[in-house]
Amino acid sequence: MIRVSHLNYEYPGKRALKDVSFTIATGSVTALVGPNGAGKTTLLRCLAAIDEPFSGQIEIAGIDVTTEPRRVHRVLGYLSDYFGLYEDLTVKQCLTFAAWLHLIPSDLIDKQIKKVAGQLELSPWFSHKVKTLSRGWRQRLGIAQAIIHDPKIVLLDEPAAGLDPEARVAVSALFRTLQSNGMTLVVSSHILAELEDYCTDMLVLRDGEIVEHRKSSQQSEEVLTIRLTFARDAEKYMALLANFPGVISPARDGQTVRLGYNGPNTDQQPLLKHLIDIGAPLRGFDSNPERLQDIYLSLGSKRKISDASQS
Amino acid sequence: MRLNPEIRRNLWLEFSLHRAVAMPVVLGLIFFAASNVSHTDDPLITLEIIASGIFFLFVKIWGGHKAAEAVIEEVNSNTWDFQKLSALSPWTMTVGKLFGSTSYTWYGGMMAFVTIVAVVGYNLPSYDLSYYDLFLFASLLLLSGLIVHAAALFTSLMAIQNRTGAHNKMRVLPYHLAGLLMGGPFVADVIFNPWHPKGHSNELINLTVSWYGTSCDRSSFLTITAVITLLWFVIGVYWQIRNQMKMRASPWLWLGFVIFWIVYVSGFDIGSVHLLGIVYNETREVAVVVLSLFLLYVIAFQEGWNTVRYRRLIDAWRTKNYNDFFTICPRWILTFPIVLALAAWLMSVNTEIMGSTLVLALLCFTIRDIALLHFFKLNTNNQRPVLTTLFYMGVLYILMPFLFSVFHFYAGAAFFLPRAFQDNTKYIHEAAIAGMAQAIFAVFLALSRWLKFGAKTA
Repeated sequence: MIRVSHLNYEYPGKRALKDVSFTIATGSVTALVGPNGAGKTTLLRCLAAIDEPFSGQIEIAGIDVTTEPRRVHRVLGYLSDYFGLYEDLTVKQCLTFAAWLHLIPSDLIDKQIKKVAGQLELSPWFSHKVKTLSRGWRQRLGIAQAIIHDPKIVLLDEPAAGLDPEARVAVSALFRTLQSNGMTLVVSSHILAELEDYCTDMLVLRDGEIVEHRKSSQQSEEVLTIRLTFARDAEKYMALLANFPGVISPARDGQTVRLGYNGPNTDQQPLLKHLIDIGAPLRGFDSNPERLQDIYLSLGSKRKISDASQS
Repeated sequence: MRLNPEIRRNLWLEFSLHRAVAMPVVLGLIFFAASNVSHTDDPLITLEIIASGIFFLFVKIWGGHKAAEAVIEEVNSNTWDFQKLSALSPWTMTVGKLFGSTSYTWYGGMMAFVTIVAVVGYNLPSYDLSYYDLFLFASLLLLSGLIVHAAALFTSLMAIQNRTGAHNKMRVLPYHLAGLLMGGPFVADVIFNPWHPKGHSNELINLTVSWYGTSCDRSSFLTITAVITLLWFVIGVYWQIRNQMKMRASPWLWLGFVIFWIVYVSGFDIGSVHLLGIVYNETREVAVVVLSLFLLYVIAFQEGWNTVRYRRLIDAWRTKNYNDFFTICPRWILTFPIVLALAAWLMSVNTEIMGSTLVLALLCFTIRDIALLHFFKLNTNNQRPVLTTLFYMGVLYILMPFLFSVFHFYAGAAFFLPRAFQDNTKYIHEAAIAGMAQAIFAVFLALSRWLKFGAKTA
């Protein structure tokens, strides 16, 4: 579990994280999203006990990060956005060195390297020098180094940057495997569609503040977007829809009405049945789980509205 | 037992079969040629000089560069975070960095070392030296190399704290030079060692050093000092690596370092000493004041502090978290009371008014310089505050006195440099008054800069 409370981080002249508090459950995969400069990398570096916060508490797997950073280092794997590799070593040497650094017993090193290399399909590249690898393979090697010691918690800053579509699928599969093995992952990325494949939670950071922390669409029963297309007279049904149990914020655009539906997929049926029973001129009905991107963008627009109203 | 991972990684990188074979073959040929040069009575002298040169080049120059590069290269290649997050202890990392990066240079250096020691050992009777002298010579040779490496690594680790911009590449040369400079006395002693050329020995060797009333031969004293210096540098590297790993850094190590060298220096008493045109008979007190001022400047200019650290310091004080307060406290603040105490000691034992006035002037100029450093460093937009401060200190200490001296206006020159111009000590008064005024003005500037940039954040 990761527990952060009232975390503040300052660079000279700028507060990069402002009173950040959240809890991340064991075994979850949390997408850390936000625009550039929101504080994602700073937050990950604080969690990894690389940068010391100005104030606040961070607990990783029950260990206080500020007082016992070295214990924290042992239980986590971290891949920074600008990570480096030892260019003149081979892939196998890099993984062996990573295993040594984490004091993996000698008799387990080969087994561990094989396991991680298998997960990231790195085995065919064992004898290649790092400097000959493409960006995608370097990224895979970076991830492999970060997880060589089976950490309880893995923090990844833009792990899919530079990966081709195949590699992204492989990495998504790897993250699901790691999660199923009980690891807790925090993944920062700009590619929201890809995070959707494996994230269970979403943490949205903007200007150093948490603006949203929620279950992602896969896990959530609350977020379902329904689009109704009427042949005519859509405006007549707005009041009815607004008062229908479970319907949230219907919005009309011409003869199309978008609304949120608060309930599992199976509960949409009464709404559709009622509309047909009263003879509403429906010509289209579709529903989608709300996508991470939609949630993220809607949070952005909410924020703009609130900023505008405050100013 | 498992070999240090960092050393093993460096062995992979440095010791290809080709390099491992090439080094002894090439050095063997060089030594063979040198031992057959017959333009002197004793061809082994040429061999010894050539081997000494190779040892210097390999261990001090190349090895010093590799030691300075050991962490800087990691920082520049963005692999340092990966190492910091490892499970290695700071000691393991210290040893790995110190001997891993320099392993190949030691490989060649040790071949030269063995040659030198063998030649000197063979010539002991003709050099009129004992085996103990040989032991000291060999020890000092190795220690001088280790000191350069440890000092280069230490200064490069210090520099990481001050790195501005995560993507700015750091250069190795300044830290290599710093290593050579700090190892300077020991390096010089080995280059101009008493065994070169043949027979030159014994004036230096037979010198004795008096320390707290105890006499010791020069070579033994130098070797013991080298061991202690090396230990301090290694501890410094260890402490810096601890800091990098975010382990709590208590201030006592730095204070222990300062106090140790004050005690060490005050062991010497050499009669009288000239300091900026004033003659002092209190050499012990003058030496410790100068030393403490030097250490104060070094730590103030080299330590990584900024507005955030001061804000955390104030926060710790307000919340009465004194453990945090002393951990966070910039070391120059902790050193300053020691300087004041030593200056007060010197002023109390010095009976000449000019001697005490000069000490007062020096203190005022020191406060001015540190306030000036704060003025530039607290400006969050200044990318090179230390260099800017050093530039203005150069203007104030060198250019301005020079300009006034050109026009023989020595009172004006004393406004910027506390010393006795033209053997006239009366200018020390002007210097003290000017120093006080400048110190007050610089502190005002630093405070205004704090209020603008440090007291609050965006």
